[in-house]
Amino acid sequence: MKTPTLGEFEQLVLLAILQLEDDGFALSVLRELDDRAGRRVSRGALYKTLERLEGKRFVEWEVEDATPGRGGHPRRRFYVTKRGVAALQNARDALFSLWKGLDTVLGKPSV
Amino acid sequence: MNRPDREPPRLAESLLLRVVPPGVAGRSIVGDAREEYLAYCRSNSLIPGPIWYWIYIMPIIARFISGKTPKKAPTSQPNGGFYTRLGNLASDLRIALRMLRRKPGFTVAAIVTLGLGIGANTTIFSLVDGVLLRPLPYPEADRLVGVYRIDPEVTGPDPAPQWLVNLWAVPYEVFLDWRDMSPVFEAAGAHHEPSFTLTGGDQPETLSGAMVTSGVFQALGVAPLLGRPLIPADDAVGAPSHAVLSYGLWQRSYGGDPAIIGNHMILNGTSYEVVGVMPRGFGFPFGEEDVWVSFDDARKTSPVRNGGYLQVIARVQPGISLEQAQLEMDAVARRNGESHPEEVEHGIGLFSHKELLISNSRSGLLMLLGAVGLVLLIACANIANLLLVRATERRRELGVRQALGAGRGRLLTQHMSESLVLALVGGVAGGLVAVATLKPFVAAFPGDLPRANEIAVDYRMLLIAIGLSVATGLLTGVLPAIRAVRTPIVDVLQDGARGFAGGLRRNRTQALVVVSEVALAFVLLVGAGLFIRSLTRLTSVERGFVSEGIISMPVVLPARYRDSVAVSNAFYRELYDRLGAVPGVELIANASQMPFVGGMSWPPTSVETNEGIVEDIVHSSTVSDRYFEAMSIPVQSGRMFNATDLEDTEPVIVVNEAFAKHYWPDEVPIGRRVRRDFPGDSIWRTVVGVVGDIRNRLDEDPFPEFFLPTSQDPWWYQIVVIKAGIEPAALIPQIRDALWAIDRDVPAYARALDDRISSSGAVAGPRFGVFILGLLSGLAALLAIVGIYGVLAYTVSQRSKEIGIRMALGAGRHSVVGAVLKRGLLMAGGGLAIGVGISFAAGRVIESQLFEVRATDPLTMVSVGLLILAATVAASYIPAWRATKVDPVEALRNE
Repeated sequence: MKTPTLGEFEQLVLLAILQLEDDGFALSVLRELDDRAGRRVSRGALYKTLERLEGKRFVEWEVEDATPGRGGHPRRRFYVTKRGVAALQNARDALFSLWKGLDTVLGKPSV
Repeated sequence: MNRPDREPPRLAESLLLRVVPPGVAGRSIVGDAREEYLAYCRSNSLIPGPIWYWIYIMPIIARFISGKTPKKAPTSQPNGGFYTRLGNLASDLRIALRMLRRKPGFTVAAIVTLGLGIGANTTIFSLVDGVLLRPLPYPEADRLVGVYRIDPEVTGPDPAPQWLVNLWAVPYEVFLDWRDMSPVFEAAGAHHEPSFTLTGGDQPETLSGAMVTSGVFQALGVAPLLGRPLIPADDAVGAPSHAVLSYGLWQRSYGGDPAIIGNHMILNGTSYEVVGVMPRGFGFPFGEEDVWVSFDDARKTSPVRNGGYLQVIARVQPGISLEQAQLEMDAVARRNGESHPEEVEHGIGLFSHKELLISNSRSGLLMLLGAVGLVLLIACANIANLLLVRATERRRELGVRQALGAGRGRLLTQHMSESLVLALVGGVAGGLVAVATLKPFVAAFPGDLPRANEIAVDYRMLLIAIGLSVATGLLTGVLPAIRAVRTPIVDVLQDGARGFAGGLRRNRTQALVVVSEVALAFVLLVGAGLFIRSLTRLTSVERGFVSEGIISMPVVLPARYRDSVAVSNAFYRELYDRLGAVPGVELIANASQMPFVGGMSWPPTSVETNEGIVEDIVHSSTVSDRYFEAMSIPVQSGRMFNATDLEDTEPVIVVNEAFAKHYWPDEVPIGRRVRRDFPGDSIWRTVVGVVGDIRNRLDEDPFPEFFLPTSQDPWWYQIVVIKAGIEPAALIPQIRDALWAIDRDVPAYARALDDRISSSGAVAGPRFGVFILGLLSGLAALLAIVGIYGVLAYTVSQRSKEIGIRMALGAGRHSVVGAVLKRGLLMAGGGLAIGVGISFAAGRVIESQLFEVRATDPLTMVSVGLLILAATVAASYIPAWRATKVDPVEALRNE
């Protein structure tokens, strides 16, 4: 079966979850996206994206015990599946091959 | 300010829970929202938490709703499933926005009109909600009752004003009996509101507060923020004097220092130990108090059982209704009558505490609500009319779409969506208007608005604004929408082909809308007119005294002057000497009570008459010999007090005309005797003079009263009355300095009597009514006149061909102008007829607020009617003039 492709925002979300390691909660992902990528993301968009990524089987989650102040509601910790990592690799390879040789046009990467 | 244990609005959370995916995934999203909500609340930000939460969840909800639309909507079914309709709605809204953008003038005018209308309504609604609807801020507040001595002969509680005047305060001794004899009370407390002067700082400060027994705190059931409330031990005779501070005073005067507990403060010369601080927002009985103190021993041990100065609040035992409790108190009253036969006629009345607080304000607030509601209705009518015109213009488009198979429901929603968009944007503007105006409006409210401190901008206000917007949208949209949809397609297409956009029927609808606008505007204008007449009468009423140039200064002497009359007299002698030396002071007098300065004394009194001795309760005051001269109160017969009336000469009094007429009709009052039945002061005093009647309130007729000379009834409290030869405002600082030169601990309340009168409740209320109703009715009239103009202008433009043909056939300009004018006047006349009917029916609502003016005052109605007709003629003139400019040749060429 062909691996579904990744949108740009989906890539950012997957990378943020990977960066967070064991702290992949939705609100942490929001902060990570803001801190590292400078992207202020609406909650709705993030939840929908996580739902979509889950549908593509790129992320999975486990239930964390409710912490005080959540009114008894559970917390989900997301992590990226092997399939998700593979999709990210595919996306990176595709991008790298397209980026190649364009430094004269685009300049050196700043990071 | 936000408490960390706050819950997000329940409605919002359950809404969120419904749209997110089911199961753990969805619940975790709700949990995230809670987590962020709590973090927000802790950050102490500007927007109230619940509003923030709503704003926060809206995009999430939108995302999940829109995301649920299936990619392939079954377009073959126009009224398919829910999601299709949702999609249709979105496209309707887009179309509506496009239409509105295309006519910016109309859109802006409509949004401003609706914004002001919805904003004003939201403000008043929030006021009504805060004062009348919300429960009092005490746990199980419906169990709180006021307990009063009543005259059982007077039946209550309907009509309201009657039962309110039948409530009598009681002395301490009687309160103790009630508290101890009645098993229906869980707790009962007495309170009394003297004026408090806080000394020991740079300047004496006047505080508002109450003297309370511990039962008040028990009954209210509010725990203090710091320390303790007053407890039963504080009620014991010989207990130390204790005070509980309000949050406001604690912050303002003591910087919120928790170490205040155990410190002392000097109030009215007595040292009180601070034992507690109440939480923010707590106020009793009026809401703005600074301090609550225990009763002093003199009051606790007073054996007096008649008269009274205490009000009693109690909490009824759970499970006992007000009626049952009342029956129980009737039994207490009977038992009391057995042990105190002289009180056998007294009843005990229980009344809902909330009802006692708000019943005086209810009619005024509802009137205000009615007035702004009418303005919003008129605004809606105007916009509906404009949309009606637009609907007519779009009939061809809609006809075509209908012919192509669009369902009626679809067309209806599309039409409605335009007005809904307008109303919602107007609602947002209105919400902002309301948030900005609520606090200033409450502050400007005249007199004593009960529970003013509880009125706040909160999410309930948001709900009100949303509700009003939706209602407005439906109101403005439904008429044009139905009109457009119900017209048969064939008519539309044919009519359109001929270029005649308006049929007679539609014009009739428009005219009816305008007629109702005129009717509503008439009602409001009449209301404003009545208030203006009432205010004029009030301010020009014969008062019986001249207030011009009079400065009054109540002097509350600290405790060290109160031990003996000799001490306080010495103080006043020095004060009058110093005041006499101030240039510009013409005359100095004093009084224990005077009109508009506050405080009244109604001692039990015996009067010698031909039928024997009559016992009554009569107003009395103690005044100095030159008081009548200073106030220009004429002496009708006999003499004023003079320097020969001394402590050891014959006790004398002066009565007013009303007193003389009431007790000694057709007889000479001079030489008759009157006795004040105070304990230790029951001596007969001889009448030496009769003075003219004065009004103690502008809206109250003079009543019997008598006067004692200060020299024979001296006291430590006096109101200093100064007649100024120059502008009072220029003299007040010097008067204050003269007072403070003797003792800086004495507060100086000097103020011109004219100021006191113009800010008194009797004047301030109607003045506010004039202002608000004047504003609202002016707005309403303007909208109605614009409505008339709009309809006429539109009719003329639609009929230009017809007019052209008529003129070509020889019709003169006069007949064209006459036809347009007639149409305008017909609409106005119809509106007036209906308006008069409504005014008669609604008159009762404002009658109680008026002074010597009937709600059906013909002069007001006729003047308002003429005003509207004149404005109609003016509004009709432009369209009429335009009609005469129609060029017959041009009109016929188009045909």
